[in-house]
Amino acid sequence: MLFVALLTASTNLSPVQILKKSIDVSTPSTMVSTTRQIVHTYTGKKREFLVKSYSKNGNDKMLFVYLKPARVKGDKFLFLKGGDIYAYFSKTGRVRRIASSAKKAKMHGSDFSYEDVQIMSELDKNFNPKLLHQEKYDDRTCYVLELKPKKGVSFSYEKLLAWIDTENFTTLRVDFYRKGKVIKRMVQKDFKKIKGVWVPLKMEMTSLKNNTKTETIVDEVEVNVDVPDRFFTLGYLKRGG
Amino acid sequence: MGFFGKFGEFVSKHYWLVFGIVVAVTVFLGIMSEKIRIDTTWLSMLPESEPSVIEYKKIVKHFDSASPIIIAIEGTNLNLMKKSAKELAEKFKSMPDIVRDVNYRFNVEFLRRHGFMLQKESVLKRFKKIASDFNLDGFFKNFNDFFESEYIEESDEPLAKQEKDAVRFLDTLNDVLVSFRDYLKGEKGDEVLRWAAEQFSGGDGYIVSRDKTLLIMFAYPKVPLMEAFKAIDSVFKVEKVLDEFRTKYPELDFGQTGVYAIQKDEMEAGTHDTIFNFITAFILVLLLFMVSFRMVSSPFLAMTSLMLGIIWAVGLTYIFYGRLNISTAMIGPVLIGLGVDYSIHFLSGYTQARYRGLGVGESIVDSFARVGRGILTGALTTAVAFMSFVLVKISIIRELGIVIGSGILLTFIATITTLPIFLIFIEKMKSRFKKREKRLSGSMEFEFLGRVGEFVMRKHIWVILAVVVVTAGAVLLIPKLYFTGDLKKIEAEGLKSLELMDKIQEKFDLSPDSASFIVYSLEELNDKTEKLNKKTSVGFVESVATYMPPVEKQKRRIPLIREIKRSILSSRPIGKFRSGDFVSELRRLEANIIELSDMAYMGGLDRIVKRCDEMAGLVNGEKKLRNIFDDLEELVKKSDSRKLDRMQKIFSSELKKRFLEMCDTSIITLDKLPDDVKRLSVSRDGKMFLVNVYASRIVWDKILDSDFIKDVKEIAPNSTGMPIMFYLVTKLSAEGGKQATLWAFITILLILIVDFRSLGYSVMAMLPLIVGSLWTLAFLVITDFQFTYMTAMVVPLIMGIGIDDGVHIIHRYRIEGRGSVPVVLRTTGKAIVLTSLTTMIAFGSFAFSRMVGYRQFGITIFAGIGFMLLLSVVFLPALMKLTVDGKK
Repeated sequence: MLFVALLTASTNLSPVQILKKSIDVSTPSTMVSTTRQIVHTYTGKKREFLVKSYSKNGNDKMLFVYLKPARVKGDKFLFLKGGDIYAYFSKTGRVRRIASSAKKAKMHGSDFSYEDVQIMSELDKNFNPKLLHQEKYDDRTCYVLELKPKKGVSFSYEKLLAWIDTENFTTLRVDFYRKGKVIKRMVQKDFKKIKGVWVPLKMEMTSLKNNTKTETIVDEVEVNVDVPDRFFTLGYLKRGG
Repeated sequence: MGFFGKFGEFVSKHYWLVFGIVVAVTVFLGIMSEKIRIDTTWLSMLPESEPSVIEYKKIVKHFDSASPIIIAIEGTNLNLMKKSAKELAEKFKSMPDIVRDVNYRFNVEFLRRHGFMLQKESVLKRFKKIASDFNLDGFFKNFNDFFESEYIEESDEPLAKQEKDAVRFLDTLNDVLVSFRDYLKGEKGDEVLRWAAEQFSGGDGYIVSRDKTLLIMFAYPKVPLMEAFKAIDSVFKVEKVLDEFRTKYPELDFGQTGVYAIQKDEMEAGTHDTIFNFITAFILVLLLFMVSFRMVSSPFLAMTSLMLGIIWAVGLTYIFYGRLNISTAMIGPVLIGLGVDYSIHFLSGYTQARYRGLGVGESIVDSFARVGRGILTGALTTAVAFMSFVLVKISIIRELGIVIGSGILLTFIATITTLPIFLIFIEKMKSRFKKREKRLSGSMEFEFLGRVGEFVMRKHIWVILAVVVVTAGAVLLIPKLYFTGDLKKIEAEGLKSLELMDKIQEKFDLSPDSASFIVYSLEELNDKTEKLNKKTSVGFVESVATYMPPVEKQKRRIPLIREIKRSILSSRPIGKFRSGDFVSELRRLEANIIELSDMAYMGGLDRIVKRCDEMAGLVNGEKKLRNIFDDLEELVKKSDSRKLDRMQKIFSSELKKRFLEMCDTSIITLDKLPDDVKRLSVSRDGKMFLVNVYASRIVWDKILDSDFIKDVKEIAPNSTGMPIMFYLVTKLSAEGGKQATLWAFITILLILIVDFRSLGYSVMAMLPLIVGSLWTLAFLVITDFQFTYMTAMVVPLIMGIGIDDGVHIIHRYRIEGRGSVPVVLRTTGKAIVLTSLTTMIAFGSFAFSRMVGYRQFGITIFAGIGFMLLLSVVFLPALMKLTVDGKK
């Protein structure tokens, strides 16, 4: 194991290649999962949700369906490439379009913004990576990449720092910077290889600005299975699921 | 004959001279002690040189608005509450010696004129659309559009602030809808519609809770808080005025809170505790004394001597400090507990001499010769242990050390000078009346201590093992000990001012506690205000910046305000009320509220959830109750068109008029600010600005880890105010406790080495202290008292008090020789048990205090001295057996 790690570490990969690999190893074409989402609110309270999610083409299209608790059961959020976001509220039966300008907003109450989720599968397209150094993180040797948005890419953060495992290229941690300060931190752990894709079974996003945290624990997950395109339509949002 | 023998001879021969000196000293120090005030407020614990104290004084000197008394008016009749607030303000204005300023409502005229200039650009952009139609259907349509775009917008402001703004917005919306309902039901007339329009454009300036049952206003006392006693007099005078208003308005309730009122309540509770604990300790110790000596008059005389010593100590404290503070206020019970020991020893010697047939004078000399040196050593040891606190950097701990240390020496002097005289007097009286003191029946001998000694000798290894096991358990618990920042857990129970504080917090969703600081330029003011506004922990920042945004921002707002004005002027004429459109917009609004509730629930914004659920009649997210929208739809359908038209005409015209008034585009500068704003936030010389920062949530439950204090201190290191000062008190106590423990340990070890001239015996005497301290720390964990600003001092205190036990046992053992442990315990044991019991009783009296902090303190010391006693009579002898006594 150590030998493999050393071998990989000594491989002269360019920052771009490291970034590309990190995306390739953990981005399935489709994914269906049931997750527990635990939101730690700024008042110190904890709120737990059970959410079924579907995604396709990386995170190009995503659908989140709330299963628990009862008060939000049936509420859905649809996220489409380009930033269109729609919400369906089961109690009012209304579908609301949330404008694309809302990409920075908190994704249905969590500490992830719509942009955070989308950007993770497109880091290589929108960012210039720079390898800062290697360091141990969570007992793993990691590449520490600095990612700055390419020219013309509008992004809410001035840069990201990503800790990528030198052995399996999973992304263990991402720090989000604004005005020179870390304002959010995402940590992924308990990776499981499913059909060749590394899936983190636990994820934490901490907002240092708001003193809130969202934990995501994957209970069930399938990757590269058939997910019909109709799942990602307004009609399905209102009727199906 | 040694020094004490000669001293005894002198006293018994020249008792009138000694009596004269005692009387003179007592009269002088008694007069001094009369003047002492008990300042048991936490503020009394801060040193004058503390930067926060200096900043506070600066604020008091330059501004009128430091630390107001918060007056709360409760009731169900809002108009009456407002009327009484206005009258109360007039009354306070007529009392310039007590209240230098009063504020019962915001300056609405200013807000009305510059309302839009004070709004953010993003809000102004939306107002443009809202202001395009004042007919209720159109207005609510625009309002719904505004609503639907509001909660998805990314904001630089923290969630707490966004939540607060949203809640305020929902409250205003609810006020307007309820006004429509009251009007359509015929319960209220046209004025309620004008009031509703006023709510939409900044309100009427009164500070009223959401449920309209609590109104608050601020009175700024003339006397600064630091002048504790005068400040408290102000509170009493304000209370007197409130009493008048309670009589005048029986349907309303008037209360006061804020730092002044809390100080007053704390002082009352502290004074009650100090006196009550003193009396309890006195009676209990006297009873123990009588029972153990089986006498009546002698113990009474001993307690009288002790009382004189305490009067001297209090008098001397007045000369040094002028007050008793929260920690030195315990002087009475502490000196009873410790000072009575000297009488116990002296009376033991005296009565034994008398039974041997010696006369009064001879018995006094004999007693002095036998016990004088021992009690002097005891007094010096404990006094020096306390006085070692002068080496602690925190002044409050130094004060405690000096007051208690000197008090111990004075009670010792009082005992050796007055008790012999009293005994001479009483014997003379008895011989005149031919009476003999009756011995009480019953016995309080301590024969069992000898048996304990024998048992320990046989099983010393087991005893040591048991102590080791218990100590290991204690050591495992100690890591769970922390310095609690939950000040609500140690305050006196049932303080009205604190209960009112909680109520204000609950009803206004804002902590009434604020931190304050001074800035010296408008640039600094704007910069710091902006930074603070971005902090989640900050609920509200009050300064002139609230009324005067930076000029660049104002300039950016001008074109938007002009657009709003154009929009208002070209808005759809107010015409007929369109019921169908209005109802459909009403239902859209209801859907928005329900959806907002879900979104807020997902994000943990509970205040928004609560408001939305109340408005939409949701129970656990399901619509179960009839809501305002149902009522309004039904009323609109039932009402005749003329009434509906009139409702629209009055509300919409008023709102349009007010919106137009708010369109002033002149730049707000300092000279344009109203006087009442300037008076509170700009220094008298116009060179400084005051910033008051309110916490978004209550800070008292975790003062040491308070994000609010950290955030405010980071942005304004010079900030002051009640939460910050209390944070400092707690932090200083934590540091002081550690330092005092260290110095007490070092001093006691040095005293022991000097006294025993043997490192081995010194270490042996220290071991019960160390083990007892560990047990006491574990006790703080088990009881969940934890460290507080009171219990932080228990370890050095019990070390100082408990050291005597080991010293007496080792001294006696060294005199008696090897194998003498049972004898030592049988003889010295009684005195140790009695002196420990008196001290335990004295501190045990604290268990009945109103201040929970005192209570925890007393119970812990009670347990700690108990541990020390147990260890001295069991563990120490076992150690001696294992080491010196077991040697061949």
